[in-house]
Amino acid sequence: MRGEVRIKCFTERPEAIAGYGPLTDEEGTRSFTLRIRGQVRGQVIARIDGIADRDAAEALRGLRLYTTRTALPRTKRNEWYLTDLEGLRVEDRDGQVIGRLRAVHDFGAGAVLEIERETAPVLWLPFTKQAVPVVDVAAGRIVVEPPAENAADDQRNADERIRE
Amino acid sequence: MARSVWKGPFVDGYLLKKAEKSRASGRNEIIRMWSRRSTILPQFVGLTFGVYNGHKFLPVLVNENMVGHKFGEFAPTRTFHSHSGDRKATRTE
Repeated sequence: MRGEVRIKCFTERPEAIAGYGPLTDEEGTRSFTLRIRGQVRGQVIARIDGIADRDAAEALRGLRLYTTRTALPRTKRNEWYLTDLEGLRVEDRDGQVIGRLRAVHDFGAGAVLEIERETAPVLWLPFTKQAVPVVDVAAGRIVVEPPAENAADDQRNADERIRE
Repeated sequence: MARSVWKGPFVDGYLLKKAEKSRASGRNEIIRMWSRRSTILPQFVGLTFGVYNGHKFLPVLVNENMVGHKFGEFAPTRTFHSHSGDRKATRTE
């Protein structure tokens, strides 16, 4: 009735969506300034400037909102935005290309890198200084040093498990 | 129902042996393991385990806050993909 809208957020904290300045639609032609009114089950209830009634709010249903990369604050040392990391070229110490960084996950035990390789199965590495000594976003690459066991044959491990 | 205290935490024997061996060798390696049910003990802190989740080994770097939890808690068996949004990843030392 009051023209408030419910927004599903993909930000780390749902309420952070209002902290990056005006948001735009997919084409970048329209701009929306949000004011958070509350939260419901991980979604935010917000008021948008210029949207005063239910009909105007209804017209926005299904709209996707975007912000620019430059609107995000600077990160701390040893910290990167996932959006910057995903898609980077993965190399070894000798500059040999291993694959591409498909995604970065966090299951509660620190960040984990999912590296897609062309000829071998997906490689999973902990995001530690030891395993990933170089992260060069500007050059579009990361350098990895896969720990010993990752390079080992899976069959050997399966046999070991049966013996134990 | 919680496990009786007098029994102590449950850990599969083979895992203890593997962890000891890895620590003694001092090599940077991922200890592949299937025992999701094993409790994380203080002697595992600092080691990296590859916890099997049914089709892959997810690296789990053990820290002090994880002691007392089970390994399986850190290697989900179902895939969930989300937008990266403003999420950040921190590289640990």
